[in-house]
Amino acid sequence: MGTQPNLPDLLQAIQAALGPAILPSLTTASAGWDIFEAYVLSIILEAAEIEGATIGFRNIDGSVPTIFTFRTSPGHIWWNSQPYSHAEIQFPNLPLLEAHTGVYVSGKSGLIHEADVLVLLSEEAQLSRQNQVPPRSKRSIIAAECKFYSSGLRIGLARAFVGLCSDLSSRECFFITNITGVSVEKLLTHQRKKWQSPVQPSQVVAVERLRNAVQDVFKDFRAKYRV
Amino acid sequence: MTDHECETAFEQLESAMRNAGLLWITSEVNEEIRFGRTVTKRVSSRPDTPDDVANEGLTEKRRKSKVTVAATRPYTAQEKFRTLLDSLEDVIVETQEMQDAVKKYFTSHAKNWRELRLVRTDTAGREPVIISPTTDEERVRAVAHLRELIVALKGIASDGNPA
Repeated sequence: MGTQPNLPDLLQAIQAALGPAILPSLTTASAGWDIFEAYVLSIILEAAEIEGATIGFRNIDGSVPTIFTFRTSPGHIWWNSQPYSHAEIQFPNLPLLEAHTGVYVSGKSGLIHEADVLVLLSEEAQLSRQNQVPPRSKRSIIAAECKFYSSGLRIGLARAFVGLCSDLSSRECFFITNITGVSVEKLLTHQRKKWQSPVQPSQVVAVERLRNAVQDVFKDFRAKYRV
Repeated sequence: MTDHECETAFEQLESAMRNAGLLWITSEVNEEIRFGRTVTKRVSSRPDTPDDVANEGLTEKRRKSKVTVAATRPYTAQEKFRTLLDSLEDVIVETQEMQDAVKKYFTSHAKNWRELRLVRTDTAGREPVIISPTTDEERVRAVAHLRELIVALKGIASDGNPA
């Protein structure tokens, strides 16, 4: 029978293990947010594929990327200071969709908001790029607000999301977090807003629930545009 | 673990995390601890008028004597330590797995992809986060080891024995 490690030994071991385990960029919170947004995007694309879509990728210049560049701080969809990439979601015989990260979108009031992940009609994205105007939220089908925190999701995040939803006319707005927050979830449930947490790889049920919720959105999209 | 042991362990781990550059995590955890744990409380809803003086109908309507309200209470030493461990796991271990999931997705959907750059333009001078198709085996092992240690510490914090 082996000797069980005691508390001081474990604390010392964890101290030694921290350095090699930490991705250098994780010393700032924003790196975690960036990885989380990319992770949520991959779940949304998986959901589209399960519902029968084919997924492709394009850069802002129309080329097919081998180096993918995703924007994680807010920017306009037409900005080309970097070869920003987006996904193309093609359901058979249906209008092409695009999925972007960190883009501005205009709301009902005419105000401009940021969507961490936005799935919209490709024709709206093209109109936006050609005219250099933010896409209209009414031409988007998913707007996701992604929040990555280590601890303590504050109620203000949920309040801001409720306000955002009231101005976005995207068919579906999701509030997606990597950890749970009792107050946040209570408020969003009370306000009948869509939320998913804790979305992280070890939480298989929560991830599956998000994927299913997004699949539902794509199912409705197919029904709406089917001829 | 006794309260004192939990407090000491919290301080040691918090200090180790700060030294490792994870001040933003310890700040978020401390903010949550300062706010307190959200609970519900049953409190009296009776008006100040004593029952023997109050004349129903003349004074305000009788209400239920107890109502449920939201409140906060301080975190226990065990909860504080556990919260810090959870946050470490959520950030370091889970982000590694998120990157693995993203990597897996792009490997199966994009031919010959070389890297994925997550670019943030609102933070001056910050290098993009890069996810590449190759695996940094050393870090994967380090993260797995860290997870084992966190699980063992959580076991001690909850029942006194490593899990």
